[in-house]
Amino acid sequence: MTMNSLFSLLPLGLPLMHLLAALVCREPKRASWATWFSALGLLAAVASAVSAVALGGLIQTVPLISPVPASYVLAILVGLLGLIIVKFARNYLAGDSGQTRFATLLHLALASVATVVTSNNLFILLAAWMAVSLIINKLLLFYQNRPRAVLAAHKKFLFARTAETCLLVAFLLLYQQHGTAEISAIVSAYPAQLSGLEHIASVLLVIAALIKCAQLPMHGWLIQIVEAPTPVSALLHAGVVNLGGYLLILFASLLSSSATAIVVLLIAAGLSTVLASLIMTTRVSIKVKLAWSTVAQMGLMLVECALGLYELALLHLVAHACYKAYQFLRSGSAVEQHLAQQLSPAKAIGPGAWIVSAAIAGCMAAAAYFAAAAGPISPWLLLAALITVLLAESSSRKGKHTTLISLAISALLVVAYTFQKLLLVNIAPEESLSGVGAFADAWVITLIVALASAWLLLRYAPGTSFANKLHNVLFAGLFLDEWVTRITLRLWPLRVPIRLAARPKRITALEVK
Amino acid sequence: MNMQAAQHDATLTADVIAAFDQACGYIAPTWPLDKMIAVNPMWELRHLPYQQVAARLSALGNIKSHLPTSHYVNSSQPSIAEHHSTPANRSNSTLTTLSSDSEGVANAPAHWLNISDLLDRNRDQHLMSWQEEIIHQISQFCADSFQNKKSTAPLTEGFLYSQWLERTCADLGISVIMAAPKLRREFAKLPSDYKELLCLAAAELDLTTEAAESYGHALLLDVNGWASWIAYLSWQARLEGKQSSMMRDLLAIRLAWELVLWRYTRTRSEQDFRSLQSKWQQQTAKPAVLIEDHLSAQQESWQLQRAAEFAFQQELGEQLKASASESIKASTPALQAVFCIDVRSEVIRRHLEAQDSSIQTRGFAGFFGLPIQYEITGALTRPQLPGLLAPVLSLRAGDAEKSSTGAGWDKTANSPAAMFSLVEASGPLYLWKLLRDSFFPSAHSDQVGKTASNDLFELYQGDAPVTLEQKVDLLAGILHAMGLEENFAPVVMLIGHGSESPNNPHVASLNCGACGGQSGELNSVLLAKLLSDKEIRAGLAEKGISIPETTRFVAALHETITDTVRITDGSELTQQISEWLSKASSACRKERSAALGIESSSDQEMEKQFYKRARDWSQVRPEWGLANNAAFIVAPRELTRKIDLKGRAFLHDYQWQKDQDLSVLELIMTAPMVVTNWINMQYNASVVDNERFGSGNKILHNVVGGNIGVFEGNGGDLRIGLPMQSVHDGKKWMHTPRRLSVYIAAPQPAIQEIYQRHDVVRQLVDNDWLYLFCVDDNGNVSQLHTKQWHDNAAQIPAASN
Repeated sequence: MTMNSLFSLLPLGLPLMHLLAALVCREPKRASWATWFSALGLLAAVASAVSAVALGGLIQTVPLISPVPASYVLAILVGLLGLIIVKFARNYLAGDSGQTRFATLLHLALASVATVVTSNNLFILLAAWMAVSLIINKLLLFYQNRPRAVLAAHKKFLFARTAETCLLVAFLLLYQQHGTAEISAIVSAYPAQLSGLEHIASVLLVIAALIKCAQLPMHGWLIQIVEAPTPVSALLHAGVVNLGGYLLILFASLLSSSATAIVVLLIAAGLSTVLASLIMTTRVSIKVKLAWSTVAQMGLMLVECALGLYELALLHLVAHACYKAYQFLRSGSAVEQHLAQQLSPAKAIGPGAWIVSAAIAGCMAAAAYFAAAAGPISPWLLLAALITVLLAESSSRKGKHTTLISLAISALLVVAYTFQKLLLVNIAPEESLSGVGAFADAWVITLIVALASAWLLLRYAPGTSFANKLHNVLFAGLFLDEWVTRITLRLWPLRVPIRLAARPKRITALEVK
Repeated sequence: MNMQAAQHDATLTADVIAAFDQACGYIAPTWPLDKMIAVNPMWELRHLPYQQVAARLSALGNIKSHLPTSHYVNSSQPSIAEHHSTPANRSNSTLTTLSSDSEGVANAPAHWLNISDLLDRNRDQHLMSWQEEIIHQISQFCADSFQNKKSTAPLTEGFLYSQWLERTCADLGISVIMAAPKLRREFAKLPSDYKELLCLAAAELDLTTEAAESYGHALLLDVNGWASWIAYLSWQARLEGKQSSMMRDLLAIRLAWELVLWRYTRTRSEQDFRSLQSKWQQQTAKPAVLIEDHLSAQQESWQLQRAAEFAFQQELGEQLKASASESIKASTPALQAVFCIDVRSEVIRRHLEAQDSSIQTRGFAGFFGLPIQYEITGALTRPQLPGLLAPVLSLRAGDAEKSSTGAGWDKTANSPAAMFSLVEASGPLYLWKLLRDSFFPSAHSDQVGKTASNDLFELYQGDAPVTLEQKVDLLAGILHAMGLEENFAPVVMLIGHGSESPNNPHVASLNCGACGGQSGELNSVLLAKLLSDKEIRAGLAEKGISIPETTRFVAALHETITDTVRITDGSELTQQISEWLSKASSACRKERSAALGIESSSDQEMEKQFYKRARDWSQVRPEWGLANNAAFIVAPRELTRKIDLKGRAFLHDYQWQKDQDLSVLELIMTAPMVVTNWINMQYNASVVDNERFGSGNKILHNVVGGNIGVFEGNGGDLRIGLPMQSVHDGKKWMHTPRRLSVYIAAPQPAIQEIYQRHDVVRQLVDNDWLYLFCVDDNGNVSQLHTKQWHDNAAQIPAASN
């Protein structure tokens, strides 16, 4: 075996190591080995990326292993978050009777996700994709006597199978069209004029991605997964909910050729983004708030795909994974964050502060826009929104040099954003959109404006009857989940009783006699 | 709609409302997470015998008060011998017959069932239960109402109920999820005034006064978490001299659900309704009988519980007796160290004293008698004293301006329009944070306390600075209560305690309860500072307390996870004292290591492991806190110095000879004794029924409303008490539930005098919430119960019999 082929097999290290870890962690004494295997898996993922960059074309490709740069990025992400979550779970679940089962499932899930992101074969990818969702279902039911978890798992089971069916049909259509199951070969045929079947395939891919990313109204399970241990919520961000984004990045060239698919994506993910982020503001508990924020963030990632900004979608996927995994793992610090807010009381932000902040933000974002050379305007509008809010929030607080510090942070954020975006263009190239570009951009801008207005309304006119009604409807999550639950149960009644042993049974007088 | 209510006998209705009100007074408060002090969850029922209360809670709320009998029989306690069971053995049963588990359904008595429970019994197992949905709905509503409580609006009478009604009438989701079409019509028919609702329900459900009291209590126990939160808001209102009737609102909300289900059943099916009606009538006729049944069913458990407690008391009594006979004469100490009465102090005090015979330690409430709140002007105030008291003085030492960037960032990250680009731009930042917290964690610290600057310490009463005279009076009182008025060592250390662990919503429960769930650092620093002041010392000398010029007061903090004693006021210690402290810490860690599963060959290695544990963001059991507490000893340290109390006893120094007017004893029996009862009962209740009086599984915890409390998972009721991980190591209970045994070294008449004077003390003692013993100068122990002294505990009848 030559050095060269050894390098080309390195990407298999990550899934294999987690598989191995899943085997050894069944023996409690060897639990620490599993952590080391996870670390080795990460090392393999990093090494394969480094060798791919350093040796470039010298490495001969193995047909089953994905040669796409995005795969290498994802593998490192999965390896890294995997290691952190595995390490975290060891102490966190210490003493739980299901700890071994948990660790096994965790490693199996990571092995499956790693397989999805390294596979270059349609059907291996699909099989691993299915494995991911079956394992997540098991983790969701880690504590089986929780009625809401049972209900959520039931719904999720149905959605997951729907997504897989979409994926299967799409893959079969593509296989039939190209005569190969090799993903790199298939995507290299695009952009091109699509046949009707190819249009169908791309719409099905989009639907699968929407379901995987828990977009409205199929979001319920993602919220209710807080019925499972905290590390599961973190795991979802290491390549489970965001697999939808990976799928679209992988098939970017196909997707960009299908205006229909893009319109579906824009509407479904766009509305999800706006609604979910507004609903998030009405939540009462930290984890549920974070879960709603995930729905919104995943929505935006999909919208960025629809805009042809795959580099931004990839950036979003990776950055959000780190952000949200961190937020979940440290959700026990919510009390401290609450105190930090109290320690730094804010004055109400007046219109003047908003206008000044928006003006500065506008200038910064515009400068970055021209420096980064064009593209759709909407992402830069979001960047401007970030800087506006950050400056306005800082201006409302006392403190030494707050203004200077917040201006510096803003500038840093704009530079970091632009730099990372440009960096990733080499990994996930932007695709030009056929015919829907301007329309798409306008639609997203409209959504952003609507979002900002609704948020300002809730913030500044909380007493008014309209704001009250809006709050109440948002608080109820638009009743979407209730309807979906109802329909799910009608289509596929629950066979397992949801009230197993949630509470010790009470005894009636009749039973005593 | 009011027709029925009007027909109902008007006086009876008034009685029923009064009965509901009574039930509203039965719920004990729960403090917010950042001030989480221990509370006896049955505190508001202390006027009743504990056995009655346990039966009541079991009957009405399905709440357990004992571990399964198998625990007592199987537990490897050599001490539960035949003779220990004698006093408990009045009902002619013997331990040998106690093999069956009383929890077996076979002969367990019936429970009270609310209307929702009655309907759930016949409900399809595949549908969400009414009870589940009702609690979820009320809980989510309460969380939303209380989380952004900027104004006092929710405190106004009837507000909560009318808000709930408005919200529920517009809720399209309930009918859908419950598969109950047209349920919303029933909500629309409810009266908009909560009092009217209470009357209407009483009439329609045909409640007698007696049934109303039990039923009201049962309904509140069903939403016990939020009821406890409301009880807390009322408690705070009371400390400020205000009134709150919010509990009635909550009861009205829960009762409204019952009425809706009652009426809904009537509209849906005549047959179902008739069956419901007959079960309901059968039940409401005799709630007292139900409670009686539970009382007798629990007798067996009570005997075992008492036997186990007697066993503990017998052993401790013998140790005290032995210790009294060989009492040590005090010489002038080289070091005096005052610790909190906390059970964790006992361990480190024992090891510190073991270093040298010239070391004297003392126990005193960890807030050091300073009735203060820490105030960061314009930002927040934090009480630093027991929850029973309202702060009198404000300590202004802080400056809030340091942390504004972080707060602004967090706020931005939670803004819908800004959060998207924030995440995209700052991925590397969060990557770094993930790596840092996983692999290179730093020590965690109290962010509010650390804003305090030692140079700024200033005491205020209202807006006026506290005068020298006031300070002298305050300190003279504190020193008197501490029993530290003469014989000062060259170094007097004032050692508070605190527990800092990251990512832990319940961190306050491991802190100093006497400081309102905070670290005792500020209190000890303040006291040391005041006692070092020359003018104050001069003032004290005038009052007869002369502190030698050579005496230094040093503030320190006992960090209870690592058992380190850290100097907090910048003082320097002699090499000798530093060495004593560090040796004591090592010995203390060694003693605790087994329970924490830490194994290590060398002291240094072990210290490292403890530090690692304290910094670990994934650690759910940073320390065992006050687990296994069982006794409160009020006596000079000489009495207990020779005894290894295994971290199970609270120790308060007290010398009755110096307390002519009994004022110190009165203070101890009405404040620290109550606090120790709260701690003891919180631990006991969190063990015997973690489902209802504990907060469940920490790995599912989900913080609600910033600091209000936690949900376990997605929703359900607000959870109170301690997490499972605080009292259980995965294999066994780390706290053995034993009622507190209080030992006071004072003459019988003195103790009895205070007991007679205070209802609270009498209730705690006579209703069996704790045991009260007198220890005489020879170490003989006698017990006070129902106004009489007993040399042999076997003579004491149980209050309920």
